[in-house]
Amino acid sequence: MQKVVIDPLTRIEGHLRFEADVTDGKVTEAYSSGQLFRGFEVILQGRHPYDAYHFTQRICGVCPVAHATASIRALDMAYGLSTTDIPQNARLIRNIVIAANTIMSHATHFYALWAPDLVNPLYKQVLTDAGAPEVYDELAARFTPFTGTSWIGAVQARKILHEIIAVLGGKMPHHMTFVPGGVTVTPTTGDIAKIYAMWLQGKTFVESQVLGCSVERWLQNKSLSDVLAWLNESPAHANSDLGLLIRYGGPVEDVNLGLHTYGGYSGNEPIGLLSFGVFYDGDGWGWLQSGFTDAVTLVKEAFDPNKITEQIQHSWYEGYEGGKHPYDGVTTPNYAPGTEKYSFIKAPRYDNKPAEVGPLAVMVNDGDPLVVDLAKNLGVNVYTRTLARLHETVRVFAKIPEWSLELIDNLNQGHGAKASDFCNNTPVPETGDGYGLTEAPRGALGHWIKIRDGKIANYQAVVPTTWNCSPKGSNGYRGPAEQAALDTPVPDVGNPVQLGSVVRSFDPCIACAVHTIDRKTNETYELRIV
Amino acid sequence: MNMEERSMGDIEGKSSAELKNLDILKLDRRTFMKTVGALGASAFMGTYAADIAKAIAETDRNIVWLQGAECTGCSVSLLNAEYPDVLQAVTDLKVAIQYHETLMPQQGLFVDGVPVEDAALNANYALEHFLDSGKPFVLVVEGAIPLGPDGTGNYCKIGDESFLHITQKAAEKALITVAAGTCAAYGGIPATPPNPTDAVGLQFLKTTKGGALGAGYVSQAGLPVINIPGCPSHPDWVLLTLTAALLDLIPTDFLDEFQRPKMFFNPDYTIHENCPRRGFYDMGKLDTEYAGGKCLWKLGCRAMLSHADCPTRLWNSGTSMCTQVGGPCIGCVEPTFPEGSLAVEVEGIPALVGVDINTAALTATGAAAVGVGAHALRRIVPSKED
Repeated sequence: MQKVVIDPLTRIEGHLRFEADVTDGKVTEAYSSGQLFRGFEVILQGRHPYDAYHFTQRICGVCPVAHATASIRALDMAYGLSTTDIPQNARLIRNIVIAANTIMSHATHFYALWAPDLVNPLYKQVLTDAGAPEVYDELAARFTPFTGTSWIGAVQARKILHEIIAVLGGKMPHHMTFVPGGVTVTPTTGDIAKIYAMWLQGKTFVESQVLGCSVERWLQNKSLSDVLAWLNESPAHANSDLGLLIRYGGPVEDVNLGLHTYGGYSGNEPIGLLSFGVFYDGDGWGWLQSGFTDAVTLVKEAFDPNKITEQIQHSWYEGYEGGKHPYDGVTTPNYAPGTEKYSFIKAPRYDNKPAEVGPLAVMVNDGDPLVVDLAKNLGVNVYTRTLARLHETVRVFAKIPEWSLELIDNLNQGHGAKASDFCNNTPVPETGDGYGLTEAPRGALGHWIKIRDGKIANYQAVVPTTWNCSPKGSNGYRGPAEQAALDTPVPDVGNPVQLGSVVRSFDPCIACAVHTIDRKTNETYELRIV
Repeated sequence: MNMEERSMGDIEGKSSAELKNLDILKLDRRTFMKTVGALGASAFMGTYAADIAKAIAETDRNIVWLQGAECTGCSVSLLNAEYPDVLQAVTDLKVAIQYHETLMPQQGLFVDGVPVEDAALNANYALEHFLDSGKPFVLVVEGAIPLGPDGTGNYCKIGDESFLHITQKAAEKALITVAAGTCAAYGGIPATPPNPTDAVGLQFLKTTKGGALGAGYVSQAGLPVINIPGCPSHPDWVLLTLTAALLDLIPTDFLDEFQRPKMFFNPDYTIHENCPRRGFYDMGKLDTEYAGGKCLWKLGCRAMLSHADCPTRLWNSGTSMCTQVGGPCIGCVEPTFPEGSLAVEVEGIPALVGVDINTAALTATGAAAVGVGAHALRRIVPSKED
């Protein structure tokens, strides 16, 4: 047995250490360990409630919009505002902002963070040995950082999404427009037309580079066999970035990278796919629906937020056994390297089960026919996880013009003349509790707030990577990324590219994942929210 | 080279070609864009590419980009750069990025506790190897540096080493050291009271000099840390400063008292002066609720206290800025950021300048007086929270 440590696991947000025991070329045990903590929740205590919106965006510069959304929905609730109290224009603007950043994040993840693994020297050897060196050459020509044609195209195109947000939010990263009760911006029809024009520019990139077909054509694919037919329909499809990934990533071409053969779940331990739902949908929330689906049997059940607990037996905290709901969470530090504890990340569990969050979970729980079919036929693995992310990108991308046109209609009908058309200005309550559940690009995100004397009495965030890269829980079950790492082939311990690909396929964001402690007072923070 | 060689006299003695390069940095956005528009972006960069490429090739210039207690927002912002964009900077300017955790193909690798000795695969080894090579480089740091727990720096570890130690080691050898973003410059959000991780900036903690490298630190080029604050830092500020640094075009009076380049963070100019909503302020039309479309002062706007060129430069390829969309400025470029309750009107200023802001704003003279008073107050406000 050899011990392989990846530290830092680069091309993710934040600092992650991933350890694996490798025996006979395969991973036999895995440990995921968060290596940074900043203490946002302590910093927020005693501050003005709206500060949470600005501060929590700074948890992550890749998905600030997700934290903005979770915090503003928590504030809306704490201020006594329901979804229908938020003006429709504000809901549409929030949707467009969330959509644009989801797409930006997915594009950045796929092209700049994940795909460079395909150019790893090990794959050159694999593909050359298999008699297909030209496939490696093509991957290298497209995905090499700084010089690959697709890398360059994507890094330039992703700017457009941030420009869309800037029209409404002033700037990105860290936009300015969400406020309890609505938004601060009062756009004109011209501003929205500009967003539509920017979207069209982005569409050119998506269709020419990513898909090789129209957005509408891709969305007609409802099953694996549809996708195979799509590949055969045109060389433009087969040679697009997505076409190339589908053909050579998994079991389509005879020579392929085998991404479908690892990064999945054995079923020896419980594991689910969890999503909280995202986007306003008429008067409600959840255009993409919430749910909890068993990752092996794919049986879905309704989502119940009360089933969330956080466990700390293997995390650098102490103070309780088993699990606690975020409402009742306790965060007491116990930095003890070299013990059974090995991470600053807690272990959140749903119904005491570890759960994968992210686009694959969102698509499966939403009942997306294509991703459900991929999961049924190929299982959950690096290949299907990555395809689900790209498919979600296209689905969300297609919604931006819909919401934009709805907004233009409202404005044209005169529903944009008053401040109240954009914001239901509401005073800070003396006392109020609230939570905001949403989907970050990399998975389910929840914020919980408790306001007392008009100030933040307590704030708690349970973030996607806490789910995905959690250490073992109290019952000993491994976290999702740890489970997914088992049996991953590591033919060369000096270059464990497959292992890196498995962890990166979750799109980790470690800046988000770490809870808060105060070493000076060693104070225990009681969280009894809502 | 030392500080003496970097006097203004030396700048005056530079050849016209070199001065042109300096001018790139002095152009405001409008002029810059106009010039770029006239020439085409690549032709414009090409005009200087020969000199730049030669200078860099001869000196073997490199960038090492380290990330500590950060959110990656400043790197994401850098990817939003427009003219020049990051790719132009890397390809046309031939800048070699030796280390950047978010973008590099390598990762940190240990087998049975021993680092893999291959710079093409192992990120930690690549960094060590590069730092040992003696090649000159510009160090960019993103994120605050936690000193805790107990001075160990273990709240942020990379490759089993504290970020504090990695930063100190790299800074010792750096030709020029740049802090990208308010966290690296002054501690930013992680250093906000009660500062649970004892986070600091490179050479400041908020307005107090010191930080992770110490008040006396100077880089190999004899310069203190160059701070490019902002949450995030604007890509133009970072790229243009890096270009200047790579070309030895940083004059002695480049920085203000908080070590910010004065060309972007003018000590005599606040965001308020060119705010798109300034007209409403002058007329005394002050919003007390969001989405009102007028001056945001009463909603906590800190434009009057914040020194940056946001209103003329704008963000995201010239699309917009915070106050334009009704978001009160939160003062993210100031050493004290985030200070006080961001959504609450900054108190005390009208009293200190002896006028009532509601009436003062009704006349241009009054507004100017308030503006001057606000600028003077910038040095007073920080002490409130210390």
